[in-house]
Order: sequence, then structure tokens, then C-alpha cells
Amino acid sequence: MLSFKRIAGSSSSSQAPFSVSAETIANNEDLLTELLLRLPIKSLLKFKCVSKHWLSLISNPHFSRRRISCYSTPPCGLFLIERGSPYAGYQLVALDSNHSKAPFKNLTFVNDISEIKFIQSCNGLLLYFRSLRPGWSGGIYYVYNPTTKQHTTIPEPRRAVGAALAFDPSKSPHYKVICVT
Amino acid sequence: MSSSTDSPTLTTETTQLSPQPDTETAKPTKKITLKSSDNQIFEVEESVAMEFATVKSFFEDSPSTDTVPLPNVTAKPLSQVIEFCKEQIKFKANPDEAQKKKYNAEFVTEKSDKDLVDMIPVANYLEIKDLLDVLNQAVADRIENKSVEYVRSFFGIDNDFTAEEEAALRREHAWAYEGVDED
Repeated sequence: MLSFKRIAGSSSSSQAPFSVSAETIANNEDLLTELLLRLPIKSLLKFKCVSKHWLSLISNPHFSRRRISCYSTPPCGLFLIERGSPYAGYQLVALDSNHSKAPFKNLTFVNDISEIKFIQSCNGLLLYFRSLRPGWSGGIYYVYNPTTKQHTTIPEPRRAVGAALAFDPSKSPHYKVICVT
Repeated sequence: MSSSTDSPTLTTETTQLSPQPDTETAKPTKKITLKSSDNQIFEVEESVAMEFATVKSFFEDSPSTDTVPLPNVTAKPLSQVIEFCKEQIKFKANPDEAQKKKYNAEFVTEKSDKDLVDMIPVANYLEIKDLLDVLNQAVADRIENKSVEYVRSFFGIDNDFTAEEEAALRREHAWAYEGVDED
């Protein structure tokens, strides 16, 4: 594996930067982090594949927390079902002017959208219910992060009549799901 | 010049200061000499030099010096950093957020990528937080729509992923790679 050159080293890389300072920034974790914190989420996802170093910085939960609390302006939009499109799923319709900065365009986590029901969105997480029996009489609750495409199943509560999601990343990295039975 | 305008309001101080008139006039115009790594000399007003936290603490440690060597800083970015800080002093004296925002935007717009990037380690070394914020945002704005390949060559970074690893990352967030500017 290639290692990163030290700051003092002269440009001996196979990819010489246009400025020695650019290399200084890339090799200084603090300087690089400060720069990355100011990028929109779309660019961060794209730049995960610049190098392993960038991937680990961008994926670090501390980085996400700092970015959310200091620099991010959450995108604002609606999920609408677009039938007959190649996606046939939920499309994000932006309600703000910088819609290109929303971290996703559609929700692609489930094949049959007719069996899922959204319950809530909360600071970047979604709570949804997937029906396993007709008439929504039984099923599974999921928490889904559409930016990272990660999801988790909530242990099925017996005869839940409702559920709600609470998540405030500026207060805690943990979310809570409250089920009423 | 200050004595004629200030004297009516400074009655108590003026009587105390009148025996030593130079303390009143010398203080605001005191110059500090900064020496860049390429041996260029910059004479700046003390108030500007005190914007540089590194220079400020240098003076707190050795108050008798009047030349501060800056071994990590070359002349060009230093002159641009001084230019920025001179303006910030004016905004400190007369706060005008809209004008300050306008000035900061113009300051970065007219700079080349290289100028911006060269100032970042200088602003970091001199601990000028406001400038560092402005520069980081400006560089982020310039690279946000660029391709991964452009960013690698911009920072002189070698791709250390295998082709399979990189393809998997690109698949995971395929939409993030749409609408990339030309390099």
C-alpha cells in the first residue's frame, strides 16, 4: 500500500500537485478536515474514493457530527411516488433553491413500494413500516438513513399502535424510537 | 492630528498625557517588522500584526523585539494575508457585516487556486481564524463539483484503492458522480 509523504518532503510523488501547499494541506489531518467540513454532502460522498485516507476521514462519525452541528444546512423537500418511471419509487422533490445539494434523489431501499408506509422523517433519518400481512395489520419498523443507505430493523413490538422517531445529532449520536402498544 | 479632534473629550487624560506627548501619538502608528522565509521585509502596523495570534504571542514572550522572523511563510502569501488583515481592522473599527462579506467574497474571487491554497498554511501558522474560514470555504467551493481525478491531482494524492474497491464506492453513491464540471 502507498503511504502518504510527509510535509517536509519535496514533490516526489507520481502525482505532483500544482502547489506544494496543496500537498501540505492533504498531509495535515487538521487542515484537510477543516477544508472537507465545508463541502456539500454530495461532494463528500464523491470524494470518498479519492483515497483511503479521505474515505476514513469522511466516514468518521466525529466528522459527521462536527459537520452537522457547524456547517450543514439541511435540504428541504418532499418524497413523492413517481409511478411508471424507471425507478418507480419515492423521488425527492426539492423545496429549497440549492436542491443539487440534497444527498439523494430517490429512495431505492425496497422493491415494492406498495408495502411500505412512511411514518416520520427526523434530522436526516426516516422511520418507515413495512407491511407483512394485508391491511397493515402486522409488519416491521425500520430506521433508514437515505444518505448512507444504511438501515436497521426495530425489534418488533407486540401489537404496536404507533411509533415515533427522535433524533437530534447536535445532542446525541443516538436516535430513539418510541413505540406505543 | 488626534490632539485637535480628541482634546475636548479627553480632558482628564490630556492633562496626564501632556508631559509626554509621544506616548499618545506613537502608539497607534507603531510598526512591526515581519521577515518572510525568502528574506523579504514587511513593515506593518502593530494593530495588523496583532491579528496574527502567532506574532502576538511572540511579542508577549519577548516584548523588546521589533522584527519577527516567519520561517514558514513566503513573501507572496504573506503580502496577501496582510492585505486581508488590514481590511479586517477597518471592519473591527466600523462593523458593517454586509461590507465585510462583500470584501471577503471579492478577496477570494480574484485570487488564483494557487494563491488561495498557498495562503491556507500561512493563515493556519499565523492563527488567523477568520481568514482560514474564508479560504477553506473558497477552496471547497472551487473543488466541490470537480471530478475525483481532478482532486487527486490538485492535492498530489495517489489513488490507493484497487479498481474493484473504487468501483464499489462509485456504485454505492452513483448519483454523487453526476453533474461533474470539466477539469
